[in-house]
Amino acid sequence: MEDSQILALYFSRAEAAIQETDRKYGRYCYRIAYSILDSRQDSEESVNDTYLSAWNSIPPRKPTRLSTYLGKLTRNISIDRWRKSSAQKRGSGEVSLALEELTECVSGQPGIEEQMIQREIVASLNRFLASLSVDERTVFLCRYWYVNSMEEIARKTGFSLGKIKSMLHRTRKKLAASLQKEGLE
Amino acid sequence: MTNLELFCALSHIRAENLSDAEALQGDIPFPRPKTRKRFFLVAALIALTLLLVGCAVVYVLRLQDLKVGEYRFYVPAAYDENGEVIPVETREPFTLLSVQGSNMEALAEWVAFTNAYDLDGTIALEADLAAKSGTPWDIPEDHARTYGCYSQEMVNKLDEIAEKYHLKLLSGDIPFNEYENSILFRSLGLDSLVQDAPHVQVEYGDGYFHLEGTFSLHMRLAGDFGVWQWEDGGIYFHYSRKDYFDPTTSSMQESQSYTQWDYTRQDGKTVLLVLGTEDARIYADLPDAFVSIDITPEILENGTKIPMTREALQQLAELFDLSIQPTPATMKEVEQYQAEALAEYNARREAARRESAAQREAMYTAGYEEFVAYLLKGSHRPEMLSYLLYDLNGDGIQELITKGAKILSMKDGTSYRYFETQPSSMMFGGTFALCDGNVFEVYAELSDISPIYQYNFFRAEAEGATFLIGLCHDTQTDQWYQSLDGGTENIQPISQEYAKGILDSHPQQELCWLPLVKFGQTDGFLSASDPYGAYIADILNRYGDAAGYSYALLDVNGDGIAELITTQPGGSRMQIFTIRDGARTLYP
Repeated sequence: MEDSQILALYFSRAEAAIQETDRKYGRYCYRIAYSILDSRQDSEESVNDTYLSAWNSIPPRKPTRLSTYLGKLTRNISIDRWRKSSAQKRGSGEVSLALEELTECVSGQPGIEEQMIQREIVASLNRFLASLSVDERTVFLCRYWYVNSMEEIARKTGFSLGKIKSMLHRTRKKLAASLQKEGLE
Repeated sequence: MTNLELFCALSHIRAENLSDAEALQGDIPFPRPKTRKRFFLVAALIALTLLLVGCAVVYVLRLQDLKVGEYRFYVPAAYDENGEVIPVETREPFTLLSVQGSNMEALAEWVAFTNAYDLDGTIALEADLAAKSGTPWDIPEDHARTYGCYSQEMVNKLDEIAEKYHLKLLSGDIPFNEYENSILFRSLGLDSLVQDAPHVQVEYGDGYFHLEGTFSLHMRLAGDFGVWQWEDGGIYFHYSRKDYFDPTTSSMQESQSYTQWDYTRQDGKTVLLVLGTEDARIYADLPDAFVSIDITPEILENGTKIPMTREALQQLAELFDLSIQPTPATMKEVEQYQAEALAEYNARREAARRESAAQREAMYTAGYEEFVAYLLKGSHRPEMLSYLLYDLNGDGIQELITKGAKILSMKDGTSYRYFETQPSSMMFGGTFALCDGNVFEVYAELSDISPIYQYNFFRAEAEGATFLIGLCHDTQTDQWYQSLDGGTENIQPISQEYAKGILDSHPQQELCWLPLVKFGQTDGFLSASDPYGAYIADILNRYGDAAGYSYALLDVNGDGIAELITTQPGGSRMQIFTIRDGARTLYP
């Protein structure tokens, strides 16, 4: 089913919207959740929460890209669940590795005016990502947005594992410099 | 900023930046199911000191006996500008331990097989592509769910191992949340996992179980043990039937020191106790089952947290009921218990919701001071809350107005709820703003949370406010809507010009918000009229550590306007502000 048809179901408040969303994007959402949570049960619950959020927010929202919209919902919900889970305390999973890698980009000091600062960070990130080449941006976001393992990224992009690591290292360095320049590190 | 803040912020990047990476996600193979692992950060198998105490009977079990393999983390290499590898510290592998006691040979063989199988993920990818192309998934459900099999080869190997060691395979695990943990106890015919002990309070948490009787769950214990206490001691309890193949592993790190010793309980059962700086554990090798208990290694002594002691761990070892005999359940029974647990949970939630609502309602009539105390108590960041006292409707009585748009007024000497945004109307709460002519606005512009901005206007009447008009702005599509009820569902598209006209007809007035933490204080507030001064005055009024802030004025870009540069206590974060259209805003 086309996205426009699925959205039409949401707008007509037809519960089939959830079924069609699951049919088309369930696997995609599950992958995002699983990459973060590393738990079947938690991932399934996050995907269900994603559907509920989509149901509650469409309408009035009419996402131009349904996949991106669902992906963002899933990522946010999964991160929230991950933060609350004991898995985080144990420091296990791919997301812990990704976080560890990102440590070199930031100061480690939490901000106090979170909403205001987060807006600035997002704006800065968008500027930074737009400045990257397509390959750099793709690899960076596969790793830190979708939490793909480096082996997965290498397999999908066709780049060698060494090149993936090298690209990520350089991109993190650039991000650190960019954030520092903007006083956001 | 922290790495987690950066990681979270990435969720909100623009879709066009994400599109290329998103396009690759469709072909990435289904995440390979992993063996359930729990990481116990104890222990050194290599440089350990073994202490055998408190036991007259020779008990042979040691952690070393439980080793079934290793789990190695992938550590990304770093490269310099020339592409040369920069040496990085390698991560110590975890030693995987069986939680099935003497029946661990099967797990060791299975771990060895899975560690060497499909290293590049090709088979997983093929299985995923085949499933996507419509090929039926013919892996038995239990083999896939419990053991992570995704190929017939894995299924065959698993069956071979089970047959070789005369073990039966577990059915799929049944997870349960904390609110429904009665499902575990009812399904497996259990009453309690701890002995009767009047000085101890037990709360059971979430976990999972198999129909055959193997189960895991979290617990919390509190109690006074004499010289030491436990307020919220976390426990993870795992019961593994020996006649079934349990794929669960725990783990340890070999670099850390720990002690392990046998301890014979008062009931004659001998257990292995393990105590390290990061963990404390109890193992019981029973005739039919193996029990492993992971315990938070901290206790309270005179109100101060101290590391778990040998004596305390031995006292705790006495607590657990090691005579439990889980009885196998049927799925039909489990489903019945699940339905009943859910119904009970929903009833409890509804009752709690009513009670909470009643308490909240009572706060509205308890007076301004009580209401403020209630708000402060319920906030994670009370110093961020603001209020003002203002006669909204011109009747000579000052309303208590919070920045979050809760408004109380007084009538006949009693406070009452004058106005509050309905949870169903504003998606993420709102901010109060005063407009002209007894009109006020509640708006939400939270780009980091929702792309929907909301602007609702109300008229202040004698004993409440009436809704005038509402606007929604989808910032991603730049489409404006008129809200017919202040919510985001009952809306109709309008032009940008029409929306702007409504906004312009209700200009916001400048307000001097005061910190709610200083409610009732009539003096001592600093104030300033210029934007920078007002900001600094607010910091000084609001934060107890305001003296640690510092600032400088500097024309950063040479445009003739001095920028305000501030740092928080300790110099942890710097912010630069400038003046734009007469208002303070972040630079640039």
